[in-house]
Amino acid sequence: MNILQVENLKTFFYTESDVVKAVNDISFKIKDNTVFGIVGESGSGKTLTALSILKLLPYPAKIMGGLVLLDGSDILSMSDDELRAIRGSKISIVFQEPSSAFNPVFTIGYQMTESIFVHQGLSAKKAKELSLEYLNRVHIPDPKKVFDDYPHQLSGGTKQRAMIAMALVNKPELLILDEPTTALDVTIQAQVLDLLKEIIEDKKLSILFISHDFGVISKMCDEVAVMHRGKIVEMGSAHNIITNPKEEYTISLLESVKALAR
Amino acid sequence: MIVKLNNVKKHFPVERGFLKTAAGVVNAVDGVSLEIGRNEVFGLVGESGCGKTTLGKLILGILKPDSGSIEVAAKKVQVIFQDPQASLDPKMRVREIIGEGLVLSSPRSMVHGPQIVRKVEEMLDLVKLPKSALNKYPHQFSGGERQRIAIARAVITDPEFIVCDEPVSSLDVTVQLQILKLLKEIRNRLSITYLFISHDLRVIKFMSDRIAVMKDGRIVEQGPTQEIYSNPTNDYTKLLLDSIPSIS
Repeated sequence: MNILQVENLKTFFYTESDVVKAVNDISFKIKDNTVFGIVGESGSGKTLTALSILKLLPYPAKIMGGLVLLDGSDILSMSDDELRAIRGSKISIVFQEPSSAFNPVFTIGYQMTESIFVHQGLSAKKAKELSLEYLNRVHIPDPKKVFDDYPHQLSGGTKQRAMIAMALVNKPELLILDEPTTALDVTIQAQVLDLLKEIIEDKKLSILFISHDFGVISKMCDEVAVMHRGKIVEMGSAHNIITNPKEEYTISLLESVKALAR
Repeated sequence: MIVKLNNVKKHFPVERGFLKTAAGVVNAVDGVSLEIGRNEVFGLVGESGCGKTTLGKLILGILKPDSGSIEVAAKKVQVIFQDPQASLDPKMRVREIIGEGLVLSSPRSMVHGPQIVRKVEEMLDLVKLPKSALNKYPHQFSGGERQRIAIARAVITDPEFIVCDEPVSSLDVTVQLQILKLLKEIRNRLSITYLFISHDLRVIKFMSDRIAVMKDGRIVEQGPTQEIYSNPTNDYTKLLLDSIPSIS
């Protein structure tokens, strides 16, 4: 079964003088309990694809056509209330920059329990227990302290771990990771990737993994779509795309990475 | 030797509250000694907060060391920063941005209008930008092109030594490669020495003849690039190298 099915999705920006086709007719499927990667350079439309799936588009972007089916139900035709009910529970997202994703004036614990109240309706005590359990699961050394900390008191790596815990706490079926390690130092990135690998190996959810880094993508994903200028230029198993790329753009992208890795 | 550092230290005080009482110090650069040879690309690699940019600023003379000695045996020194969006004046045209470097670095009688334009055009040619760029503003260019302008602005002064501080970190990987190749080409053509600062081990390896690995204000390991990458002796260097997400 497919947890997510995207068909002919079109998301355009309407500016005064121009129409920018940021996501231009793309289709893909994510199978249950697999990791689907989107790789591309800046401006290729990968983040906008993620935001379209959540219907979280910034003005002046508009979805101009297509279908987004989450577990068979059409997201694009949902009302705001229906969307609010699935965002953060059935489908959740981790952004690149945890310091701007958290609200700076509330503690980590407050923000985690808030989302548990909304989606699971647990008591304050139960919500705290659950939060601590998940903070522990993402290997934060002192969950009780972090629960009472404000975001600015945490390092970048710990903040991103807390963000991942928060994304997982309502047991989503689809987790979107949008450049989750790009803002981190390389040693911290390796630790967070190990954590994500652990979550993936649990096989309890599907993941859409977005990154500009082919190295990270190859480490994490089962299937990969390469995006360029709003289109998917090539799609297939991660192994095939990396060992046997067909499209010119994929080849040039891989070559740049390999030239640097030599 | 073009640059020689001996036990250089730079501390920043940490102040607290309204009265700015001293709350401690950050040892940004904590006893660094190194030598950079002429025509060498010396790579300085480390994670955020390790002191690599502070070290670059000390060598440029933007900061003064608390102790230790810094000798720079170059008549002209230049710098290329990470973000050309921030380092190029948005209200100046490309001809002014690049030309200004020449005007400011030459004796007044040496430069005249047509001469400046000719030299600026030469520089555009060097960094592979069309002449039509002359009258445009920075915002009319892509990130990679903007970094080419920053390179031209640095090179026009005929420097012997350039500090490149994360020059490709804000660029996409295909553009990164183009800019790195350009920097290499310029070095070979004009025999310039680079101090190349980056957090990215792949980029550092691609560029450098010798490297130093920095952590918490200290250099934990330095030597020829090939040697360190194939046989790192320091634990932190090993950890850094193991952390590179390579295509498998």
